[in-house]
Amino acid sequence: MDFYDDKDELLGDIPLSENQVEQLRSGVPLFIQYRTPQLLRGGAHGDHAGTFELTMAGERIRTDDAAAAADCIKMLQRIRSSGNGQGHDTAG
Amino acid sequence: MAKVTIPLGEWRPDMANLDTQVATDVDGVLPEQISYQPLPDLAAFSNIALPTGPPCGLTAARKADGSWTIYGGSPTKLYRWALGGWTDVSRTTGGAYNVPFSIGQRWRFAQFGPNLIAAGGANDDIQYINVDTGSNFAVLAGAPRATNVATIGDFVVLSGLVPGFTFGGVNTALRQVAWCAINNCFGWSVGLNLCDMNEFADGGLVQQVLGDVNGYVVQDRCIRTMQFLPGDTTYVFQFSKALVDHGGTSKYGSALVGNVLYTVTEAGFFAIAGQQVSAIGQDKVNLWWLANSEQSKRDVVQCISANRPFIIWAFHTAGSSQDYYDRVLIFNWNLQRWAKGSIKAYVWALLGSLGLDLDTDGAETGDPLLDSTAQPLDSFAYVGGRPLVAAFNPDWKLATLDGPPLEALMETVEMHLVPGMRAMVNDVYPLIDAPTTTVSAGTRERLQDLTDWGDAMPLEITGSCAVYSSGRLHRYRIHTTRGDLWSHAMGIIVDPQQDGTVA
Repeated sequence: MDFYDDKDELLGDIPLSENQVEQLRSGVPLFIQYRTPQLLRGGAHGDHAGTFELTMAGERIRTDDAAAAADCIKMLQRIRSSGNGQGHDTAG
Repeated sequence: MAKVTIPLGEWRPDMANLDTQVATDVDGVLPEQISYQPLPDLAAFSNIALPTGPPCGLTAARKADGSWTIYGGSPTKLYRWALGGWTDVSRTTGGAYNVPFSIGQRWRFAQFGPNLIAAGGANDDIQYINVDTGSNFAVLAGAPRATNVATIGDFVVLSGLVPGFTFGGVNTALRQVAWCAINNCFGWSVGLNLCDMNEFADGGLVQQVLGDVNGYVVQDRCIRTMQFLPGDTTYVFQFSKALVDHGGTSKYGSALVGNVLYTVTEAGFFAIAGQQVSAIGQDKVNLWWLANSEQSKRDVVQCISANRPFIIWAFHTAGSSQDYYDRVLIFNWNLQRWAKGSIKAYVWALLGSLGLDLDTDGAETGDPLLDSTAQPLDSFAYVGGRPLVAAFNPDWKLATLDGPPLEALMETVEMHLVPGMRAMVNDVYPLIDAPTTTVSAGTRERLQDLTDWGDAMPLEITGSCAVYSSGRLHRYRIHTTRGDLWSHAMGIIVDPQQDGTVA
């Protein structure tokens, strides 16, 4: 789902499950912890790790740490571009 | 001469059994401390068969209200059981499933909170259903195809990832495991909230993962412990080899009691507690099993933990061409003793029984009026939630392991009753309370001879069987008929007399 920084600028999208979206809609912040997967760590993927929080404001999902969120999105993009391309649906 | 008690002793077919204290053969019994007890047959709980088959999945899931729901699977459908029969709860989009029974694929299930997750192997995506509110299974988005599934602590772990796909930026392989985000069975984005995967450099393909925060990974040439590392985002789980060069023969051949793993390998049966390995079948049943199980079907041997202290391994007898299991090996983990039986079943599971109300109005199927004889009042149908060993019988019907006692056979050790001499035995007093007991005597003069078995002799008014056997070496078979009610078999008492020589 798309999410935004505190200046209302689009940061990107992050896969959230229905339960997580429901949690956000109910006003409970969502804590995201990310880390480069162990099988990809090093080399082109590097080793990225961090945490940030998502909250729902109106219909928009916002984060408290745009830098960490952007780092996470880049990590996810690199993961998606790896492998043989026969990926699974990653909506979860 | 003094009477001689020959106890049945422990069944250890791999051990030399001349003048020892072991039983030569037992069948259709359960192993107990100083005796054997009858092994019940499967009893069909209902006349309603699984609509499509052959059955290749069976499990029970617990709902939020504490009640149980039973799910079954065929190669093309998933079903939910109610006393009225099976309801098709397969996915509504994507067509029929393709879980090929003939090549050893089975539905595997794991419950995670309200969700029951099903893995069907190479040809289908992971499925899930909310057991409280869901009406049909649906694809578990993002999860990689896998041959097995387990709940390990706060994670769903998929094992034996089906090759040919990408998951987490890595090409999938059968030697991999993957786990969801912590406490979120829908979180399959590798790298987020501890969702990750691992690939084992050696030890072969992953057959099965079992356990809790301290679990096990059963590979086909290795068994590893799997320990959750709280707070560690680097590895999440730590894997350590416990058994090297030997691994599970089957994707379904392991079970847990407490945190002890019971598994079958080509080197025999093992119990593994952490890093401590016990060869529970060594000098007992390992060689017997290798000689008597169908080699081409050892990859589908199924193990379940029963509700008494028994581990059951279901397998195909050597030479069997049937697609269902026809034998069980039973291990009493409390006593470390074995027995076996002949029970035909497609797939086994430890279920929680369904409840049936006692309103006596006969409104539901299987709930007749109280004065009806259709359902005895002590039937498990009226008691919900009890742990229950169950299986699909060869007619594809759900059956429970509480039917009539199987036909039982117990054979004593072979003995020189009068050392150095021939012995004559007129009567045998069997230590068993089965009314239809018969005893037959097997004798021979030399170890090099074949055993000559006499007729099965019935019990007389004295409680003895008149076998009239003569020879240097004696052994005896106790036999009961199917359905005969009895409680314990301990052995026999004989009154040997020194006999003449053979010219």
